[in-house]
Amino acid sequence: VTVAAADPGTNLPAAGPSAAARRSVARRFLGSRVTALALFDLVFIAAIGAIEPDFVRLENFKVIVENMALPAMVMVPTVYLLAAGRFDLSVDGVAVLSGIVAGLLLKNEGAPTLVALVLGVGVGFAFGLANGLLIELAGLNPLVTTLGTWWVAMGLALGLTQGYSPFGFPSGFTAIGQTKVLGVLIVVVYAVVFVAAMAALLGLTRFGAHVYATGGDREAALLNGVKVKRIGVVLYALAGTLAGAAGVIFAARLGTASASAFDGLALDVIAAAVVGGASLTGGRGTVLGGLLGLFLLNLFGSAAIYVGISPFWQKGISGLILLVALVADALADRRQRRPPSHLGTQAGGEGSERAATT
Amino acid sequence: VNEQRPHEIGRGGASRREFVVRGAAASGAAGITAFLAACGGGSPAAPGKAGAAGGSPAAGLGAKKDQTYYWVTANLGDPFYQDGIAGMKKFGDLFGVKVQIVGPQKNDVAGMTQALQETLAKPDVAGIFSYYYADFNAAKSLYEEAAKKQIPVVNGAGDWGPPRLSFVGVRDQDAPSAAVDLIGDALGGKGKVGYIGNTGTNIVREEKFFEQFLKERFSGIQFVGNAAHDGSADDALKQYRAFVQRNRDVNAMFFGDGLGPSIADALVQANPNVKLVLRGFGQNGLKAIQAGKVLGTVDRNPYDEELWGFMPLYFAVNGNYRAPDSMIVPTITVTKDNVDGFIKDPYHNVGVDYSSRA
Repeated sequence: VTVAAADPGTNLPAAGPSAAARRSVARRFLGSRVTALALFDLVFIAAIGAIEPDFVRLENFKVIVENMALPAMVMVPTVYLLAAGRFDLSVDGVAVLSGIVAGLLLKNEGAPTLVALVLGVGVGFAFGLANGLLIELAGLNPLVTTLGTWWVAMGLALGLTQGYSPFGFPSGFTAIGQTKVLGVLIVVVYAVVFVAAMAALLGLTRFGAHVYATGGDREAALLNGVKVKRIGVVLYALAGTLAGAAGVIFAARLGTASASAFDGLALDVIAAAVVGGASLTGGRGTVLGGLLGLFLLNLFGSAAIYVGISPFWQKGISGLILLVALVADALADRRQRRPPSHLGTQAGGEGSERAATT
Repeated sequence: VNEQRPHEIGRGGASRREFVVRGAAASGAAGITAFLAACGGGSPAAPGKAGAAGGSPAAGLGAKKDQTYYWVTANLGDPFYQDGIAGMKKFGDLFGVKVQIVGPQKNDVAGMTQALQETLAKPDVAGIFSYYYADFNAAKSLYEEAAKKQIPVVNGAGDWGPPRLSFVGVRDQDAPSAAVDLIGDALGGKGKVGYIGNTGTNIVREEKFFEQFLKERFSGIQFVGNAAHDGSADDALKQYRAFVQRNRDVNAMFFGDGLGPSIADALVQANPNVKLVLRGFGQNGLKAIQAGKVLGTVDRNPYDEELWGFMPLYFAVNGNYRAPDSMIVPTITVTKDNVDGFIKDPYHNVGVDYSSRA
């Protein structure tokens, strides 16, 4: 989806195809990160399939997609936080705490499923909102703030449970995570709906254009009337809410709420978003790219088992993939920023186009 | 083994004898008297029945009640600690002393080392039950510092020899051995078997024993490989699902670390045909055994380990008693045959109630 609408609320030019139109469709298609990543994913699948034909079974891809469904829900707001020049390290802790709050409400308080669900997700929203207010209004550093709220959330999770994992939830609650739709876990359906909704919200609306503007050049965005702080608060609240939802759904899927449910989720989704083309300095990032990045990391995890790579090497190789993506990104960025010789002026890179495609 | 060697902690020679705790902890006076007999010391004056008013084993020993006994460990978010903490608290109640668990939430060796260091600096430390499972060389100077300060240390999760007062726990080979027997019998000595565990040093050692025992005892069983997870439920489930997808003909799996029981239902859903053996006694796992979905679970009961693990510290501090060099707590196998009794009374021997004696 290309953001082509004019932006009547600000002086911002529409994130339209002005620069892009100058390129041929084929060149844009072949040159985009999303296309490159999709091709890389396909080549990777083909290569592993050649070594281990079992790898390309539909059943295996179903497992991979089911595994990445909940992280995808957390990854989407992460892409947009990155696009807006922000990030959130607290999502693991928030997801864990949300699952535990829902679990304790069900087990200890006998709360109805809907109440547990709403309050569990509400915890995520509250933490996200707190992150947003502390960072955007109080001006605290995002790294330290979200690290702090991660600690608070994990500490609360442990303190509330004392190491005990509530389990034995009513079937109405476990159905939220364990139901299958056409043979696929329902979490995939949630992910598709959330991802599509978020992509549409942020890719088709004025709000989405403002997100990219905020990350691309904060001062310019401010001068053009973009409510930068408000956007930041909304994005952090969204990130917290979706982390909370992921935590509650995961508790329903496992049938238990564990303080060790997630470990490193925040870094995993940031890595996936960056592999997918999001920039840590803001202004760039797409949902589709992030999804392909997440898919690649999950593909690798599965492939490592198929080709017999020792589990002790897997993290290291995942790290290498991330580094390769970062280097490729840096090289591509540098190439795009180089002034074309026939113009003699600095051309707008992908960042200046705000890469507002989802 | 009866090998005498110098006691590096403090006051008197240590008898290098192995004292095996018979059955689940007989937590009353009879058990404590047996322990003291193994120590070579006298029995405490008039030890009473467990929990009886005025009958604390501390009576007559001049217990230093203002001091605290610390359990230094890591990965506090793991459900494994639920029973262990119950055992530690039982020790505190029986002996009328303060107890506390300290350490990082995650499987964090640096954090655990720091917790050990901080504990040694506390003015109220009576003794330390140390779960230091990483390379001992990293903590050797801290153990030496403890010896200098005459703070007794009992090792739990791994034994590195002196300087320490005693080792209370299981041998690395015990749980794998029990799991191999359970799986081998269930498969009738034929089939394919895999392993999954976390990357903790002791778990890696145990995986080697599992593979070795399988080869030695069941020539008709093929070991198809292992997977490792990062300690989170999310990653454990992901790795397990990928592994059973890769090895669709695997007949049995041993989930070699304590996370398995909490996610038993989700593991079963990944491939209900796999005969699954878990590690630890989380309620979720026990329910799955009861329902016939999981073959069984093996482990020492951490309640036993922590209840007995603190006693050498207490008697070293309060009575200058020699401690056994090693106390091996029993590895318990729970299957459908005995799961009901275990759920009903997980901490006591079933059948004989020694505590009812006058």
